[in-house]
Amino acid sequence: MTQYGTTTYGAWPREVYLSRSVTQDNGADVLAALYGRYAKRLYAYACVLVKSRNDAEDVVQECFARIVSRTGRLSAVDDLESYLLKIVRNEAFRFRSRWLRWRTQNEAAGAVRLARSGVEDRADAEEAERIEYAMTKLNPDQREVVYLKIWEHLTFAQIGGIVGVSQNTAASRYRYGIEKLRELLDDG
Amino acid sequence: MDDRKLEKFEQRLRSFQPEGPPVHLRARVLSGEYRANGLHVLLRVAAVILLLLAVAWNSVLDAPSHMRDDSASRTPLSEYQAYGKLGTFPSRIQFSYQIGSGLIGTVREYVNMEVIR
Repeated sequence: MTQYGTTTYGAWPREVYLSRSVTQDNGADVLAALYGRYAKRLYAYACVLVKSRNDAEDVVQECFARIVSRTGRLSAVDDLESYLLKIVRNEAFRFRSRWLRWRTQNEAAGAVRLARSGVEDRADAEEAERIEYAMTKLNPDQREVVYLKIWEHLTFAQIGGIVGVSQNTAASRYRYGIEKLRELLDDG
Repeated sequence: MDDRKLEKFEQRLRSFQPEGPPVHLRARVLSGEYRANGLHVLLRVAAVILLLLAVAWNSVLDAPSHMRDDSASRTPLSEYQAYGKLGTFPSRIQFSYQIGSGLIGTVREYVNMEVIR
């Protein structure tokens, strides 16, 4: 039986559970394992891209529905990590354009919620809120790249592949984004 | 910003982690639950409105002749042409009914397909 994985940041598992088994009897187990491994990261990324957490939930659900419908293709995917993030991105953009809410979503997007792992005191909570707020003030392109670099630990080449820009453009967006974050957080 | 400061700032950010999805999302994803979004709700409302319109038009057709408002049939054809060349009163009803039924059929088919999917 498939073991449910626990999500850990910074080290995406290399093994691909999906292969061709989702359409077989243990499909539900495999989907559950995938959810256990990736849902946290996909949800956080969706939060960066859309306005509210409810929207992010819809995006994640659509993402997994798409994974199931593309089972045959998944066995050929080399970089599952980037592939899944790209699906989330596409779904988030479809979600936004569906209601022509791009402008308003764009202004208020980035509702990712942060917390310090382990024991969190009041100062930590305040610091987390400041970072969350500062993230919402970034340009959407920069915010996305900063998120992928800082919390997904991706390389600029991987980020460029997901976002659809060159490695240099991704690096440039990151640099400007991180500078602005520093200003907003008064990091001397 | 020099590399050391940048690294320190990155560490500051990384000391916090994004929160995970709400617990109910797992059940929702694994059950493959179909959740109608706003577009589907709109389509359903439109289908209901069209259905009511079609029923209303149909009742006009079925009404006894003395209850029908057939004053329009005495209106000169030129006035109907201004409304889109739909012809006389009965043919206008027929036309609207056909359009309404067609739309309802299409919407119903779409909604069924979505539910199956």
